[in-house]
Amino acid sequence: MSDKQVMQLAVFLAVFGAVTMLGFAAARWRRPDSIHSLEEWGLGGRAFGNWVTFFLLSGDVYTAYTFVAVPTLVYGVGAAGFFPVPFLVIVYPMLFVVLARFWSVCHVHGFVTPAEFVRSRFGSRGLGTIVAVLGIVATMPYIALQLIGMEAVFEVMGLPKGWPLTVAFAVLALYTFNAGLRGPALVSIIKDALVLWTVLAVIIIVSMTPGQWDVVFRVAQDKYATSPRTDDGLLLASQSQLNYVTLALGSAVALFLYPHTLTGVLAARNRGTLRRNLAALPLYTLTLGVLMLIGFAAVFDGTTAVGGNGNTVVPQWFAENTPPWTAGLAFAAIGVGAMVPAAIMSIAAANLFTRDLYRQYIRPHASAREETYVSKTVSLTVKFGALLVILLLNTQFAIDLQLIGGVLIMQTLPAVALGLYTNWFHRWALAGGIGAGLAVGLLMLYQVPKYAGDGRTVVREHLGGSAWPLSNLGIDSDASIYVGIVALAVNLLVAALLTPVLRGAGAADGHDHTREHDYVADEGDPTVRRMVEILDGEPVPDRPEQPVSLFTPVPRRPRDDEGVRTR
Amino acid sequence: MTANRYGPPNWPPPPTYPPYQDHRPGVAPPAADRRPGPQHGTGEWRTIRERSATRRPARVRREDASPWNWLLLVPIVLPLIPGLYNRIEPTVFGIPFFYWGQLSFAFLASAILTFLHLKVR
Repeated sequence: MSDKQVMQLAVFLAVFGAVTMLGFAAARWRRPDSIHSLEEWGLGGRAFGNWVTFFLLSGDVYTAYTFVAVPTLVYGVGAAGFFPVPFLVIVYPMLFVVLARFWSVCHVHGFVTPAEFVRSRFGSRGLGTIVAVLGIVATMPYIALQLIGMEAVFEVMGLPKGWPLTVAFAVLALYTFNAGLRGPALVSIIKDALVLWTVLAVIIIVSMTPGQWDVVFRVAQDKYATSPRTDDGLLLASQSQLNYVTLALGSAVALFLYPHTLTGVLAARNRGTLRRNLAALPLYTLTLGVLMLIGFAAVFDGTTAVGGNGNTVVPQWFAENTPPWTAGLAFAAIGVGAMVPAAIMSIAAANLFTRDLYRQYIRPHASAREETYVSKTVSLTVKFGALLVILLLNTQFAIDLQLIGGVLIMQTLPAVALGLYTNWFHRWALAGGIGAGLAVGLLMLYQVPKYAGDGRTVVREHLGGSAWPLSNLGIDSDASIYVGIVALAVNLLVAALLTPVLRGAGAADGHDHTREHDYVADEGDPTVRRMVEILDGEPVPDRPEQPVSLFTPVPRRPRDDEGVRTR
Repeated sequence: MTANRYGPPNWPPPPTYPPYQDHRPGVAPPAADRRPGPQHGTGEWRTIRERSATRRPARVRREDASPWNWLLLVPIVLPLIPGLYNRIEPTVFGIPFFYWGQLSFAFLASAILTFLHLKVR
């Protein structure tokens, strides 16, 4: 280890220590009477205000993998790797109205997961189970992906592969176990401060290079011009445009449906909090945009990956071009940026398991305390499962699984997102649509070959990416399309066609337990049950009517649950 | 289709009364009432129950619907048209339009969402 690396490691460890302490302290922050309910452990009491929600959602959406992998993509192909910017701009207007409805209906009914909503809306336990299983399967590789980001940082700092990652994740698992969603919410504040400094550092460093961005882009342009690939460059090649647009659209749809996004959303205090945050979050995309430009800066500075691991380009650029302490802070930003979403994702997957599988099939009468215990245990299991995948299998396996996961989670759109607007779809038609979408999506993913760096040589026959060449259809063009969008279109078509068929055949509709007013209820609305009253799954007893005398006012006797708290 | 499985929010509906009519034999009912469909036993006007059976269920207007929400389409559609921003010029600080143009859509989205948040409650 060189002196530089020692300094980087020292800064990294200092930040990591602070994060650890904050994570454990989070269990005491706004401590509820009992943390042993899923509302408290898994949703932070559903009471996060504007700022905490902002940090939670930004930590949730802008993950370490994004910070590491996307600039690497830009480094490799240029403009085509820039798709996360349109994706993370369009996602917020797409969700602005939809998420508020989701928040309301979940608050009125005490739902913790999207699968519970689907079960209630379409009156179908089977459909809820499908949504829950898809959510869990899609989330797990995403957690493993966060580890890849962290691994790249450790590699640049000259640490060995196995134990540092294990230690970092053990710490993360422990404070998540203890503090639940409060942990990542607080830690995310540190993460955002670090990211802000990292972005400033990039801007300052590039501004100090003679010629500034002008030269950086000119050098990058020369590199793409001389490379053997045809789909790279500072602008989109004509054959990449369709894939660029569909990938941005599909990623936006998938982001909304991922259970961890919805977990972050449900933790907001009221609709106004959520809407204010959705209005502010597009600006956070600017930080990602600046970090992506590191890809070009790395081309300019001639940065090369360490040990053949492509994801090390970004950390390596920081190590070579910034003072060691700033590099240490940037590494900490990536490391903490991996821990925050990993924690939220594991909580979301655990909640799905508890509410939609354990409670439905194993122990229907589980108490709130038991539910929380199951959720905590599952969140640990999920995290260590991800760790084992990265340590024992290769990282490519996790990336392939994540690719499939994105296509899987998109298939829940008709049930979850359209379900917020209509219960027109028949429950079996929705299940059929999901099945058709999955079949088409998986088949198409299987057909995509993987190319080597020059963009021509086939490295692997199958499962090589998500860009499906249109030439498979016999169309004479180089263009390709994002698999998920096609699968989703098939899914929607099947669901829409099967619904009238099933109705005509007399298949019974499920009972819709929600009402239109549930979708617009807000904090303070009498239909939104007070947080104190929500005990997971237990029906809220109706308050007995007060005795009313028409003649003499009877003094009201305080009820048992009112009056001075003794604790 | 069960928009009013629990009854719409304004249930029961305000009472509707049959229009005043001249019942003398030989006087034709007003034109507005000569509609096809099930008629009351006397053939003069329909009962409320028969009418509601033939009428399409009233379109329930969502409580959070607003024409302003169409504005949301602008920041969704613009970033999905590569023809708009797939160019180098004009550059800002040496950054091609492709990059800073797409980043500026973030400001547009944020501005429109803020406007809607304040305008539509």
